[in-house]
Amino acid sequence: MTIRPGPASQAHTPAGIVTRMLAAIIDFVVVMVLTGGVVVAVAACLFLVNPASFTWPRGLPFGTSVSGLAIAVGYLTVGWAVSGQTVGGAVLGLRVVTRDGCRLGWWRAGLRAVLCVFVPLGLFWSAVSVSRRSVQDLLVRSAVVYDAH
Amino acid sequence: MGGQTGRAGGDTGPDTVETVVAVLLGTGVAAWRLVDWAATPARSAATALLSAVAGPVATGPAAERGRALRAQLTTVAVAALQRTARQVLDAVLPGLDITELVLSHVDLDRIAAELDLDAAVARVDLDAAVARVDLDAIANRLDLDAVVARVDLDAVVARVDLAAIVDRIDVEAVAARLDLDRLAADLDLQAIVARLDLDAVAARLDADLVVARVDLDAIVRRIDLVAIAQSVIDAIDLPEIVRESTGALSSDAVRSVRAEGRRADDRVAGLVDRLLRRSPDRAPVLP
Repeated sequence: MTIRPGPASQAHTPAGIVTRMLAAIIDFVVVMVLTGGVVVAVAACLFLVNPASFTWPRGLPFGTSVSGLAIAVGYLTVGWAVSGQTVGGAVLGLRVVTRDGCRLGWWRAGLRAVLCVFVPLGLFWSAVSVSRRSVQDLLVRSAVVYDAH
Repeated sequence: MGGQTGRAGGDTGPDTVETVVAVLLGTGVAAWRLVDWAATPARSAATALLSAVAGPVATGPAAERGRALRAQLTTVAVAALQRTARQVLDAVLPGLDITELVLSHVDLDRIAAELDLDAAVARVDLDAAVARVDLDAIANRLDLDAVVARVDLDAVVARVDLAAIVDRIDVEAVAARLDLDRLAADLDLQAIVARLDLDAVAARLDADLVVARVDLDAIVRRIDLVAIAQSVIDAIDLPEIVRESTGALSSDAVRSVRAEGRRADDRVAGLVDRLLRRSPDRAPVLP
């Protein structure tokens, strides 16, 4: 699957720090909502299993925070590998591509997601980099470009 | 010479005879007056004597018989005179043009001035006269078009007191007799409207006054607002409008956020370039 071609000046123009941070904030909110949804879903399942009493789940695998991190990695991986966009990237008109402008593979998307989740400060290198690449982009040889139509 | 003398004698002949006749008549008149003057005392004396003698006799039987005879003779004489006059007139009138004689010798103006027409008209039985007139025949002979053409209608109308006439009309009775439905059915409203200058009429309308006279409360009370609102809502696909407006609003908002984000990116990049003393003209591109 190849990235849908757009205008050359727009498809290959790397995005700056402001739009990428705004997209990251939106994705963070989405992940929080997803995590909350998972917690509520687990609580509902537990209530169905034991209707006599309702308690919020305490024994999620590796705790709620770890679950949130896992959900974030999975969410980012699926978004970048499938369409190159997460919800935040879609809102801000950003797309994550390879240096050739193609869609990231699953492995590269997963690695970039892990790096983004555990080394979020690497994003700020895009403000300094001449080619507006973050640390994650440098490591997985990816780029974030404007893809608004 | 002899002819001239004869003509002169012929011309003077009648004048001479007339003069002689006039002299004779004048002499006779003078003689008659002289005799009359001379006989006056004797006539007076005779009259007095006869009055004195005939007074007792005038009331006697002989006088009565004389009077009766005189009345009888008078009646016979009058009858004879009338017969004679009729015969004379029957013989004379056919040869005379009475109309011409009247016109020539009668002063008709004076007669007309002396006539009492009022009294004459008062004696006329107009009803009987009108009953004898064939009005239909007269009407058929009248050229009404010519008569009407000669009438000065403006002057006639100017003399009419329309206000007094209108006051005497019972408008309600007239309106009660009108069949308005039939009149309205006969009206060609399209033609009437086509002839109306609606612009001029509208220009003369005082819209404020018209609106002030409208009982809006009564109109609103008669309107089924609920039904109207329901029909309007049924006719409008409100959910679709909400979806379209929301989509357009969100699309515009997202587009605006993206544009502002790109400008912010450029400003931050420019600031970093100045801090790092890099050329600000170099556009960021993918290698």
